[in-house]
Amino acid sequence: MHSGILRKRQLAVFVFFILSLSILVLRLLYIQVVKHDFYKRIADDQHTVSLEIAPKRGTIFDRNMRVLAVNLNSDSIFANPRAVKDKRRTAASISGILGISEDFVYDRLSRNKSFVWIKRKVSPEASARVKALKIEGIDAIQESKRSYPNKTLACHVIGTVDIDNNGLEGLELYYNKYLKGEPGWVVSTQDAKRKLLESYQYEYIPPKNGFNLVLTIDGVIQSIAERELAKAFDKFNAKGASIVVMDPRTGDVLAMANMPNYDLNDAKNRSKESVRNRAINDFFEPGSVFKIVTASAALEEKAVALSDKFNCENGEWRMGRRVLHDHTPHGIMTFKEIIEKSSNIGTVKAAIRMGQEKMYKYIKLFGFYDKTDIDLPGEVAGMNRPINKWSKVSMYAIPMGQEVTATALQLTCAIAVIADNGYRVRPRIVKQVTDPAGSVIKEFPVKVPNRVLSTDTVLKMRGVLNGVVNSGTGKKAKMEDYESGGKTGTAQKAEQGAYSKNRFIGSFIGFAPVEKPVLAVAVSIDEPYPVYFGGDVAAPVFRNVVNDTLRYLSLKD
Amino acid sequence: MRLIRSFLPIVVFTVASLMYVHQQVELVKLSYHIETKEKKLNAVLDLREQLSYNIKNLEAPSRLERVLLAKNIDITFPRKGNVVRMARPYVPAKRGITDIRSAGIEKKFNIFGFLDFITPKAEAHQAGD
Repeated sequence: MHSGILRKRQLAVFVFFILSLSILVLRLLYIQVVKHDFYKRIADDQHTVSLEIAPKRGTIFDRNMRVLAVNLNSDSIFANPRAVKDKRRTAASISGILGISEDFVYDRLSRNKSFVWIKRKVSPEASARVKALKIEGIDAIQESKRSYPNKTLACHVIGTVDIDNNGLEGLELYYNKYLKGEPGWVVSTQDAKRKLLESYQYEYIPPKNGFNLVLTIDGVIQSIAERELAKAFDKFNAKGASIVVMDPRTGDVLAMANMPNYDLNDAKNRSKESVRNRAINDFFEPGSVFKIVTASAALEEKAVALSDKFNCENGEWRMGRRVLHDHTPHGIMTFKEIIEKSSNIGTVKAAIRMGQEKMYKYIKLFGFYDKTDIDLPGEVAGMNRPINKWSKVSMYAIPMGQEVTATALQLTCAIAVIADNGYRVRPRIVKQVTDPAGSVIKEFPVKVPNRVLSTDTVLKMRGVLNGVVNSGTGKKAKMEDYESGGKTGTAQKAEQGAYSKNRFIGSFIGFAPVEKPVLAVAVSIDEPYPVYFGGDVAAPVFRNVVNDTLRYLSLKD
Repeated sequence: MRLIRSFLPIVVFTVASLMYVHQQVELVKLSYHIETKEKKLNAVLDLREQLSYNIKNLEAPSRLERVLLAKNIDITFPRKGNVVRMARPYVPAKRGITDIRSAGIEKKFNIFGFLDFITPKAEAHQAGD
């Protein structure tokens, strides 16, 4: 009796377990077989992660392989607002560390999202302090940040990048395709805390880091140029200033600086005035420095000789309705003296003797109608009219640098013609592109120069321009150790259809040493005050820069 | 015997399953280990980059000039004649001789040279080496 009941109970328990097991097996079959694809997709979405690996942007070096721009890893702070409990308190505690407003952080934390940036690319110290707070929902990821060890040095040449390391200005923009590199990819498994599991990496395409740029800029010469330009800019309360230093034999730009400038590491807080690369973006009427073109052309065409005499009309010459003035009244002078003393009347008379077709031909040959084609964005060619648009009075204005425009770089190339035996070199600012291992992948050879002047004219012009420095208007450019040649210029700025009486551009273009020039330099100071003559404001900059640069170069040789 | 025979596949299957699970656990552990080491390596590399960047920052010509001027030290480039070039470039003396040919000692070719490891050779050491 008892055994019968026991067997029935055993059977009932057995059936119960079998049924339960069957239900489980069926459920398992349903999940594993019938709904296989559905659940696999959900699981894959949770476990598998596909991440882009950012490439490292290429480094920019100067000609001596000094680093001018480099990428450093930097933390970016982000938040998962849904996971942050006390938003107000969190905002208060991290805003101070990151140097941003508490309201801004609170606004970000109040968004109904699972990811918001708080601040990208913060300093290692700030990142460590935020991490030390261990606030739930606040974390950091690593990104690559563009950094400039020399801060303001060559800021207008190098340019800036945006938060995603895309070039915005300067060489960073012009050579972005070389510098940027290509991103890589990784497809991997992640755990519940979103940590990647290296052993479960399905696919890995490494990033291609950006190529490096080797510039023709010399960091030391650039530094000298910026120092001297800044001194003049401050001393003469100028609105702006530019300098270009070039090796006339190769066209290599050794320094290009502008004032005001800005710190490349703090580009956000720069002024609007400091953004422009004035040396190539701004054109102006060059004034008397343009007389090197007139004088060279007249000598080359044998329209005048250095010993030819002209009557400079005691400083006032009426031609129809137009009256030409000289800064200092002069009587009869030789053509050499006319250039040395910068007589407008004498220069115009020599140009008229040569004729306007030849004047136009040499303005073109010296490159004032074209861009120099330097590898920098935003270069302008100026606004020079073709000869058929010249007016009746153009020949009384153009030979002395009015009614024509030029950039500081065009002026540097023009003086380089005289420094480089009559050849017009093309400026070069990038020498090489190298791969991350340092192998050269692209060379930028020196461009074949065009012949503009004969050697005879060049030697005559060197003598004349040496006279400008030794006994003419450019005495403040004279150096103790080296002989130099150059030309001063003081141009009135045009405003509302007339020439201003109190706004000037003082400039100086020159080369050194006279016997065998290795430097061609153009300096322009925009609206200097209270002194405004090129010989007073720009010539000293030329002297100091060239003096230090030649001494530095002699140490290197 | 029948019992053992019927349990054997289950045991083998269980052991194989456990080994598989163990392997997967080890893989995950290894991943975490690699990640930790990678983080450390990257942190050290970042620090090195940061430090070399700081050095470049300190070496910037404009900064050096500013610092020197603040200490009233005005440094200028030497003038012509201040620098006297020596006839031959000066080569600082090296401790020890690394290139025997530069020291005037020609090493003779020894056909049994490969047996040198059997007998130790006397080597001269400079003080401090």
